[in-house]
Amino acid sequence: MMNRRQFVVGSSAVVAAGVFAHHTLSTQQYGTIHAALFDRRFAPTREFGRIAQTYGVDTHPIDGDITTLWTKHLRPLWSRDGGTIVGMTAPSTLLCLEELARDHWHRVVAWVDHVPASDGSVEHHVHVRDKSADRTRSLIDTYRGFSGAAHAMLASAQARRGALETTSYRHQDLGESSGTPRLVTWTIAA
Amino acid sequence: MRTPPGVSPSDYAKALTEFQNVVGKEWVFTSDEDLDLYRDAFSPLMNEPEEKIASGAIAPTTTEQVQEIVRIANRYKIPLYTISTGKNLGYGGSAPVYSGSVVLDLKRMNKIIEVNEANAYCVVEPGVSYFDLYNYIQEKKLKVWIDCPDPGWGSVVGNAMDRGGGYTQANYRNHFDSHCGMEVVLPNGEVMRTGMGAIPNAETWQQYKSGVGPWIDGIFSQSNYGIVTKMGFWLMPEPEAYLRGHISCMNFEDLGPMVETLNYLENARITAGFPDLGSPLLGYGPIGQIQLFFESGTHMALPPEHMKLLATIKDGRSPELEAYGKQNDIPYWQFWLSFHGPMEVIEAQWQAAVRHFAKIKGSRAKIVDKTHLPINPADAEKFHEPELGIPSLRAFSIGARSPFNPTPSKGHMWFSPIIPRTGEAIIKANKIFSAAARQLDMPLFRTFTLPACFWERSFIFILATPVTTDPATNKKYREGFKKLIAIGGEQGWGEYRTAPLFQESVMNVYSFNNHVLHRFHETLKDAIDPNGILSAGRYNIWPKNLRGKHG
Repeated sequence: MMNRRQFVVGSSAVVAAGVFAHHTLSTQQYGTIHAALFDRRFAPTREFGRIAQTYGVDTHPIDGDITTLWTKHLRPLWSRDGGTIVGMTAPSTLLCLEELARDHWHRVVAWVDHVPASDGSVEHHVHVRDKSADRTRSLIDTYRGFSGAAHAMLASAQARRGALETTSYRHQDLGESSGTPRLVTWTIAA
Repeated sequence: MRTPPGVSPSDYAKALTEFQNVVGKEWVFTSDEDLDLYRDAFSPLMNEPEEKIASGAIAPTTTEQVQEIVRIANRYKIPLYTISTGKNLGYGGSAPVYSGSVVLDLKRMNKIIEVNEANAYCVVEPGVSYFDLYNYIQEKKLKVWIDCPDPGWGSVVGNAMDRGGGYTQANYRNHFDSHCGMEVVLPNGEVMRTGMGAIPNAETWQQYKSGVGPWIDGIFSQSNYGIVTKMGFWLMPEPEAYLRGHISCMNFEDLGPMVETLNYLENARITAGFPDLGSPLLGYGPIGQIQLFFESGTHMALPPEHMKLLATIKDGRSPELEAYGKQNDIPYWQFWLSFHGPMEVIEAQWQAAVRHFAKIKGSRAKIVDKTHLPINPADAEKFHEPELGIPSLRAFSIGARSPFNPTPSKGHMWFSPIIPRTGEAIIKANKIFSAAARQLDMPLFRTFTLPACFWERSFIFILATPVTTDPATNKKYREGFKKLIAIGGEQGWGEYRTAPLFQESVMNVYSFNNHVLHRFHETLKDAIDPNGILSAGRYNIWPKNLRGKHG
């Protein structure tokens, strides 16, 4: 029986692409994470991609635009089986993905806002489900900065339900990340 | 569990059970978590008590299921709110106008029923997106183009029903006008087909629009008189070649003659591609180039002297800036024209266009793109893809902070008045809206703004009013937005489309003869949908039982 994540099979174009996705995205999964997206325009997002690779997750670089990734990978994935994806991108990219995810009854289940402060530091506002909150805090304490957010999302993507818990921290030593725009790290799941 | 207004919990529970029997338990949604997916991501009422939210959602797959759902809704007086894919952000998204309605979500009705290459038309269900249709055509190597909005993530049917527009040739850009034939589930559950489709076994449903007798297709757009479950569209035969160039003029006073020339050329079909208006001197790029400007961030970095002179403009005019433009060879106005067709034809059309613009002293013409089609897909990103009938999500790549977008917002509400197709109207609209926006502290028309040419014969401004995280700011913008609508109405201008929150204000502008148009809408509603179950309040058409009581 089809479930909520598998309905988009009326179009033969989608069916064909879905077969392709089966071979490209299901082979390397970390836990329930099916893909990690990062925007290669920014240093922190590139670092997110590197960290995701250490978790064994398929990584997909973008340059802000997700048209090709959506058409060739994400839509077939969500149409066929559904799947959890994580990423660090500009907020506008997440907005686009969030709206596309709605078509498959997927949603943003956790996120970290990275907000540049006027003093050059970055405030990280973490929103995760209560089941992963303790682990998230531990990872943030260990890695700090953008890396803390990356590890928190990658390690806690399975926690999809429960109340949202919010915690914030500030990071001063930005290195090459200095001057980056507002970014967001996120998990989208069914 | 949320309950629709005016419906008892026990009746709602019975209706939900019956809905589940029709579509399956899995496709009836009532949890807060699932219903959150039907909130309007750009709601100007986000997280406020008045935010429009759904009490439930149902996702059928067939016309027969839609019919049955409508019959159940009639029995229990359940208010339904129909969406196709709900991607009309800035105009309401998936959220119902009448808060507490049950969303009838048609995105699972996603069959491409036919694409006819020989006579260039298609028939699709409401859940078919522009990407679906484009991919289907590409996969089958059919030589037809779609016309899509930007971004192209939405429903072909939904965008047409909302009267959206696109970027290819004039006779395809108006998505409602390019439709041919509908299948509609009426509020009593009956299925009706319009145009030639009213003939059993019709052979020309997508080949002749109006059939015979009153042509009623229009009443189902921007309304709540029925649920469209199939719709035909005329497609554009794949052109052989594409040419795009611009005409530049150096004087402020050239704007009027340029618009007049453009109108003649477009109305005579000498140019039929999307006309795109820009002003290099005012730092105002054409729509087709804005994406590239934002992506690179460098094209529009104006020298300090130029920036300083921009502060001297009044209603778009500045003799000092004009002199600076002439000294530095920066045009005041630049109109981009595009052409699709056989190369020898579009080259001739371009030459004819240049000849007509040459009547304006000092005008200059330049071809920017000239290519045979189809282009290599890898080269598509060099263009504004929708002008080549290619759907894209690229618009979202410009949302990151850049020198021209320092504070990305949480969404926007589109302010989109239609104004006359004259240079004089552009200047007048800027003068009026700019003064009003400053008085209302609205972030619109703060610099001279140029309209778009989605529709023939008229201009349209499409300006984003930001939605923020601050309720007080949102309140100020909501109130200001309504005042701008009224101010436009005083000039004889009205919106072409608007978000639910502003539909009453916009309809109030269409008030000729004591609002007879709106009263006619209500008369139709009472006759067609006496129980008021379909999309109550859409474009201010309320059923009798809610009229004046909807808050």
